[in-house]
Order: sequence, then structure tokens, then C-alpha cells
Amino acid sequence: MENILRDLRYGCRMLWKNPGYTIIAVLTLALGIGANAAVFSVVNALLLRPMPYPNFERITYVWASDSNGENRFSVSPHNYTDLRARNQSFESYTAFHYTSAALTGGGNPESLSAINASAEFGKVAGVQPLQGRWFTAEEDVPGKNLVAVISYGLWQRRFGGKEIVGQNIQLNGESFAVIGVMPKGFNFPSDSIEIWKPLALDLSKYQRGTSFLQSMARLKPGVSYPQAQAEAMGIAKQIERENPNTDRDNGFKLNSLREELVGEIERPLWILFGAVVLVLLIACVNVASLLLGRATVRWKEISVRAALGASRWNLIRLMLSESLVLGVLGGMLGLLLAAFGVEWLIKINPDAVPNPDEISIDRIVVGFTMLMSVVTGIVFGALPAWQLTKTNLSQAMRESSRSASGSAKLTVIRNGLVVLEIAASLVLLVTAGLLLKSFWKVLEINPGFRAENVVKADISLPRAKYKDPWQQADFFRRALEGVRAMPGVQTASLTTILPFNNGRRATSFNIEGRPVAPNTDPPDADNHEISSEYFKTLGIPIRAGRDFTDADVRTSAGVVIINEQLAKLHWPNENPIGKRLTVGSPEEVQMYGKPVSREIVGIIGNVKLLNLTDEFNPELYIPAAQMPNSWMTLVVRGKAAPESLINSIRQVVHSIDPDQPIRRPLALETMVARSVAPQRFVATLLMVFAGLAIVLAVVGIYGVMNYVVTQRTQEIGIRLALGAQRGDVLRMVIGQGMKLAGIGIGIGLIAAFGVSRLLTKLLFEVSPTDTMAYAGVSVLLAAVVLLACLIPARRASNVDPMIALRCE
Amino acid sequence: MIRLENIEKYYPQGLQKYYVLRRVSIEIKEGEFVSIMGPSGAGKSTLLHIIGMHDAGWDGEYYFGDVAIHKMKPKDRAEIRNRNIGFVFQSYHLLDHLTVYENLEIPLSYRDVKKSEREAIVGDVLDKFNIVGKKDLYPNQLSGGQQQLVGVARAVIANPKIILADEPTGNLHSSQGKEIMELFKRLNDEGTTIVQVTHSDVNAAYGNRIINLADGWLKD
Ligand SMILES: Nc1ncnc2c1ncn2[C@@H]1O[C@H](COP(=O)(O)OP(=O)(O)OP(=O)(O)O)[C@@H](O)[C@H]1O
Ligand SMILES: [Mg+2]
Repeated sequence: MENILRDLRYGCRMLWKNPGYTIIAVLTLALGIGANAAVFSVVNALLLRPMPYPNFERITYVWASDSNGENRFSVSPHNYTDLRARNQSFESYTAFHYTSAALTGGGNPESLSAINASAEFGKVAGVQPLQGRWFTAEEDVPGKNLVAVISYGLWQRRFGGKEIVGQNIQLNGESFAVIGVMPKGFNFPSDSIEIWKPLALDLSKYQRGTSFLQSMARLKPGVSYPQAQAEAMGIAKQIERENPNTDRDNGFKLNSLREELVGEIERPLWILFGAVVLVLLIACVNVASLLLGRATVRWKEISVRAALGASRWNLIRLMLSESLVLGVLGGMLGLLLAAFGVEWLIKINPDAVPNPDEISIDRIVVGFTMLMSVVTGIVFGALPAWQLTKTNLSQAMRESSRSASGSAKLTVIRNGLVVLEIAASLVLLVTAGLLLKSFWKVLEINPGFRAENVVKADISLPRAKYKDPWQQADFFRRALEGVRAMPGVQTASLTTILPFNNGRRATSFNIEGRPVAPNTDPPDADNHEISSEYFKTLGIPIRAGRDFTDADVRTSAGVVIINEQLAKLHWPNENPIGKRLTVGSPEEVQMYGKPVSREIVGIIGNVKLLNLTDEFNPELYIPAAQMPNSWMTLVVRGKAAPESLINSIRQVVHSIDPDQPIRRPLALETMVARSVAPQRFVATLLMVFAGLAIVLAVVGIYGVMNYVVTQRTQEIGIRLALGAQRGDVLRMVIGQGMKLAGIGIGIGLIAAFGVSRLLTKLLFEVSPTDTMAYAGVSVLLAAVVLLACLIPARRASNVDPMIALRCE
Repeated sequence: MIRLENIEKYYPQGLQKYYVLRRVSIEIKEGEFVSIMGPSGAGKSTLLHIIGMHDAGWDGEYYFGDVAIHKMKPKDRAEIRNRNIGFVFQSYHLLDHLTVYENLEIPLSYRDVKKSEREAIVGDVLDKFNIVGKKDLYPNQLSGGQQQLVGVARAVIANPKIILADEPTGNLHSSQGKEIMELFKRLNDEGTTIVQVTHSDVNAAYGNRIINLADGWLKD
């Protein structure tokens, strides 16, 4: 122990006395370790840290799917009820859907994210309210369901943390009794939910096949996912046999809570983790190489120590303690870098990862980093220590006098390290290149609308207050008129479904004159209810026909506008304008007493709905004035700043109904950017890491080539004396560097080829074997190596043979 | 063959000049075997490097045959050197990680000799120096005398007109030294001009003329 301390002290002194070397080594390690700590803190928060629900690993989403388990859809009330009744795998099983609730009375109206859930929701979550209780099965029936559980945040913000359980609050114009307050931080099943209330499902209201629910189960202890999945599939088969018309080709797909939350980001995260491990490897290689370079300097010290009786183990320990000190110093600085880095990461891209607030440098991250520092110290220190102490004493003594041929072996090792470094950089660069190219392609996609200068706000009218659909329509008509009159507003419109905003809503329809064959589904399309000037506001081109006007109202003829995709699908060789179709949704039938026959009056360009990478879907648009809705999104195009446009919307809505909140006001550009946030996140980081790798590689290769030239000074002198020209020497040194580059690039290409397979799922219109990426990166690396060799090579060609030879 | 006129060489020392060679004028005729002698630090090696055209930082006139070396650019000098001069060093300066054969090949490789031709020449020289059996060995597998034998062989491989040797036997046993000197004698008999630096009268006796240097001055 005492010896180890002495070695450590000595190691520190050695480092102190060689500040240049120490600074370079510590900085290199700090970059490598810091990058690892930063990515690890994200991995830790999202993939490793237990979720705050008891036995969270047993909580699973249950989606409707195809019979082969592919795709996922919302679950129908009937299938939920059947699965719940028949399966043996679930300890508890709940159905729910997201909704919003306008909270009024006492203060500004606020639109809150809410969940309507069936009675077992609390059991699935496994968390008890801080005060009060969850709703019961008795309360989960229509008429008894005016109870609500609220979040800790809402309790503090709106009610000052005062006695609330047992009191009534106004939600969507109805009075709800608060029965519970959840503990701080409870945000099940996703962020920002503030109200949980009973679903009160009335099965008789829904036909089989109508689906709008999400569902979640808690597996019984000891039941595995495959078991539960298989059982659910079996039940789906039964349901299909019993209801061949409504439930053809259906299934259930279980997806654990963790997967649901991080599923999309999980693979990119592991790839990032792989990338930073490569960066660390390169850093280690550099420092190991640096240590080896110093070996020549320390040779004498080592042989003298050995002559004085030090065993090999003594010597190795001595050298390892130095590298351990380096590792720990690098680790501490790295942790500091990581702390800033993570903050920066989240700031530049808050939408990239779920729960960014959870990401922090906690004890586990610190522990991981320190462990990594120690391991790193041992890894990069072991090889030099082993090599340096290997040569026996007499050899060491002799070689310190002559040009050391033992150091030729060190050169071989250092060359190997350079090759490794180049190969690792190449893998990293190819990965970054592929993802970057893919991201580029995504950004180049034209979404079909122009997002700049457009803002939106969602408005959801409480049905208790606006019972009649025409009353709702009147509200929206007045809001639209008001907004259009505001300064800075160019055009404004309303829609039910806005791209990149709130998902999609499909509807089936019938084309008049084309009866649907028995046993086939009618065609379907994405359905939007819009007011006039919607296409103008969003910059969607009208290809044929006309836009809706304010004359398309309830009492006028039924009209519909379709997009090019729908036109192409159903009228490939005909002009669809003037053709007729019927949607005939239950709401429509209720309003008009029969399905409305609609004439196609316009065709518009295709629009991406959720992601830039989506295929174009068939879409149809119906005048909102003919099909009113209680919730709509106001879209406004204007020259004014987004904030002031949003303020205008808020003012207008307030002037019509002071109790009516607006929800999620945002610029459309922001929404599109959010949809690519994860790709942007990964691409940015990979670019940073690839840059880091290049810098480290240049430094490493430069160091090695410089060392090689020093080693070969005498040899170069001899060669010059024997007739070599300056150019010969230049070529020789650069040739040696390029040979290493060639081998490194070769190995790297093979490795990258293998690794890139993991990327397939993440790439958009880029093949994992994209020739350009591989060739470009290879050329780039070769150029970088050439650059790194240039100064040492010039130094070599300037060797004075006289001086080089004089050392005899 | 070689004529030096008033060669001067100095190193700046502070503001002053530290002269290593002063007004050195010598002539070496084709076929001569000259020994340069003098105490340590006299400037022998320096002179040899000037003759060998490694060193360009001097004043005076240097004629190689009819060619005025002092008026030439370094690159042109190198060409003359490569055609005419071979070197032998005190500590051999064989390249450690090349075999005997490969060491011998180096000068040829810098003189654009074709590969097939190189093989023939190296084979010839190996034969002539009686080291065919050693061609695949590395320098550290040879004795000092054998290493210097290879050193001499390497000096003659490009068929120079003149060989410059800086204390070629300095690191050798007297018997091994004798062998090298006899080799030089034989080469000289065959027509190669030889200039050697030596401390040994015995070695100097192999030559036909001695140039004495002391403190940078020629002495008679
Ligand atoms: N780069 C230099 N800077 C300053 N002085 C130098 C330099 N190189 C050589 N000298 C000096 O030049 C003088 C001549 O050196 P040189 O090597 O020619 O001597 P030498 O006669 O070959 O001696 P030795 O017999 O010991 O080999 C010496 O005094 C030496 O110190
Ligand atoms: Mg000398």
C-alpha cells in the first residue's frame, strides 16, 4: 500500500514536471471520457434508470395490430372489453384516451391535458394518490363519472396546495368532484397530464370496429411478454372467428412501457454510445502512443531502476500509477465537460428525447465515469508498461547507446495504434456520414405546404357549454372573422386535422356509381374539416377546381375537395371534378338524417401529415361549415412575429368567450422541426463526435510520425549520405504514413461495412453501403493523414546528414 | 581529379567565427590513396564531408575534374556525388532493419538502377566480397568486421570513382582493420581513388600520401 502511494506520488511528480505532455494527455482523455459520460447520462436516464412505478417492467401497452403483429392501431371498445374478459395474463387492464379539459372558475381559463381512463388505471400504474383515492369501478359508468384526480403541479399552481379533495372544480363547463391528488412527478403514462377522470365506457354506443382507445395492462407476476403476447393473439383469433365482418385480419401487439417511451430513440442512443466508445478508444490510442513515445526518454531510468533491483512488476506498477493519475484527471475534467455538454445538448434540441428533465449527472453517471477513467488508465497504460519493461537489462543498456533497435518494435506497436486509430475514425465517420446524408435527404423533402410565417392554436370547446354543433360552428366562425381582422394577419383558417399537429383521422367513403364489392372494405382517406382559405393559409397549391368559399354552408350543396393522391388512386384516367362521393359518418347522418352526397369541386397538392418521411396518403377535405366540430385548430399566416400573432388569437378568443382557453400555440415551422428532432439530435452529435475523432486522429498520427522521424534521423542521414534526394526522404516518410492510412482505411472499411448494417432502419433513402459516403470518408481520412505527415516529413527531408552522422 | 582552393569553414560563435578549416588547398589525383591525419577536432571529418559534398556551407573553390562545384546548386552537386562518390563510415551505419542484401541495394535504388540490373550488381559484389552466405542476415547478426565489410561493399556498389572513408577501422580489431585496409588497397589497385581519415600510422601506410591537419590548417 505504501509502495503504491509512493508510486502514485512519483507519478504525479513526473506529470507535474512534464506539463506539456500532461496537458495534452489529460485533455485528450477528458474529451474521450467526457463524450462518454454525456451520452451515458442520456442512456442512463432513458434506458437504464428504473421508471418510477412499482414493477414498471410488467406494465405494457396493448395495441391493436394486423394478424401478424405488424402496425399498431387504437383499440376498439368491444375488443378491449373482450380481451379484458378473456385473458389470464393481465393482473389489471385499463383503456384510456387523451383529451383536454378547460378548467374555469377562479383565474384565467386553462386548457389542461387530461386522460379519460377505465377503473383499473390506478392499479396498472401501481401508484396511490398522495391524498384521496383513485376512481372506482362504480364511478366508471356514465352518469356517475363526474370525479377527477388531479396532478400535484395543478394542485399547487391553481389551488395553492390548500385542501382540495372533496371540493368541486369546473371542467369543460361541468362540475367534477376532486377525489385525489397524485404525488409530485407522477406523469403516467406521459408528460404533462394534469387530470385523470373515468372513461365511463358505454359499449352500446359503439359499433364493433370503431376504435379510439389506447390500452395498458400490468402483467401478472411470472407471466412473460411472449406468453402474454401469444395469449392475446389467440384471443384476437377468437374475436375474428366470432366477428368475421368487423374484425378481419386483426391482432394485439404488446409493447412495454419503456419501449413505448424510448423505442424510437433507443437504437440511435446505442449507436451514439458506440460512437463515443470509438472516440474514447481513439483517445486511449493517442495517449498510449504518447506514453510509448516517452518510453525512449524513460529507457535509461527504467534500466537503472532495474539494475538497482526493481522487479518487472515494480516497474509496471510504477508506470501504471502514472497512467492511472492521468486517467482520473481526464475523468474529472471529462465529467465537467459532460455536465456542460448535456445542458447544451438539451438546450439546442429539447424535443429530441422524451423526458429531457430526467437527464442529469447523477451518482450512477459519476460512478460510471470514474470506473471508466480507471479502466481507461489501465488500458492505455498497460501496453506501454508491458513493452517498456520487457527488454532485459543488458539489451536496454546497450541500446540506449546505439540507435535502439528495440525501439523499432515500439515503432511497430505505434504503427499498429495508428492503424487502429484510422480504422476507428473511419467507422465513426462513415456512420456519421450516412446518418447526416440521410438527415439531409429528410430535410430536403417538400412537405407540400409552406410552414414559414404560420402559427396555430388548438381550440377545444366544452360540450357542456356548446352542446349544439351549430353553436360550435358559430363560435369558430366568429373567431375566424375576428382573427382575420387583426393587424399583421394575411390569411387565417380553421381545420380539424393540421399536419404535424395532432395525428391523423381516417374515414371510409363511397364513390357514387361504384358499389363496393361484397367482403371488401370501402376505400378510405385522411379526413379534414376546414374553413375557407385553408389552402391559401398553408400554401397548399390548388391543382384543379376551386377552394371552399363562405357560400359553402349547411344549407348549400354538399362539396368535397380531394388531394392528388386520392385522385390518382380512384380516377387515374379521368377528371374527378364533378364526380360525387359520400362519407356518411355517424355524426353526419345524425346531423343531416342521411349521408350527404358531395360533389368534388377541387383537387389540391399532396401534403405530409405526420413525418417528412411519410408516404402521401389519400386525403379529403370537407367544409367545416357543413360538418361542425367541437375542436378545431386556428391557423394564421402573417408578417407579424409569431408571438404577436398568437396574442391576436388569444385576444379574439377571449373577447368571444372569456372562459375559453387556447391550447399549444406554436409556429408551424417549429412543429415540422420537432418531427425531425431525434434525427437532428443524433446527426448533430455524431458530427461532433466525428469531428472530435478527426482532431484526435490528426494529433495522434502527427505524434507518431514525428516520433518515427526522430527515431529515423540517423537512418535518414545515412540515406542522404548514400545518395537519397530530399524528395526521396519526403516520399519515404509520407509513404510510410500513407501505408498506415491504407491499412487503417482498409480495415475500417470492412468494419464500417459490418457496423452500417445496424443503421439500416435509421437511414432514409441512403443505402448502408452508400459508395459516396465510404469513398468520401476514405479520401477525407487519407487527406487528413497526409496533412498530419507533412510537417514530420518536411522535418525529415531537412535532416542534415552531417549532424545525423556525427553522433558516432 | 579533386582540387580544393582556399577552403574555409567556420561556425558562428556568438558574434565571432569559429574556424574549423583555414585556407585548405589540396589536390587529389585519380588513382591516389590519400590518408588524412591529425588530432581529434582538427577538422578531418569536416573536410571529408566537404569533399563528399554533404556540406555546402563553406567558402573557397572546389573543382571536381573540370567542374566547379562551388558554383553549383545543391541539387546538381548531389547528382555528381551520386555518380562519383562512395562513403564508408566509422560505425558502419548499416540500416538495422534491412538485410545485408537490402543494405547493399540502397545506393542503387537511389540511382534509378533497374531491378534486374540491381540484382546482378548486388550478386556480383556479394561474390567479390565473399559474403554471399550472409546476404539474408541482419546487421546485428554480423561481427563488427563483417559489418564494415558490408559497409565497404555498399560504398563500391554504385561503382564510384572515389571512396571517402571516415575512420573505417576505428571500431574494429586490428586484425579486422587489416582486412579492410587490404580491401581498400585492392580497390585502389583496380583504379578507385581512396581518401581515408585515420589515426593509425599502420593504416596510413597502405596509402601513398598523407595530408596532415591541425586546428583546421594544413601542415606539411
Ligand atoms: N555543428 C557544429 N557547431 C560548432 N562546432 C562544430 C560543429 N561540428 C563540428 N564542430 C567543431 O569542428 C571541429 C572539427 O570537427 P571534426 O569532426 O571535423 O574533427 P575531426 O578532426 O574529425 O575529429 P575526430 O578525430 O575526433 O573525429 C571540432 O572542434 C568540432 O567541435
Ligand atoms: Mg572525425
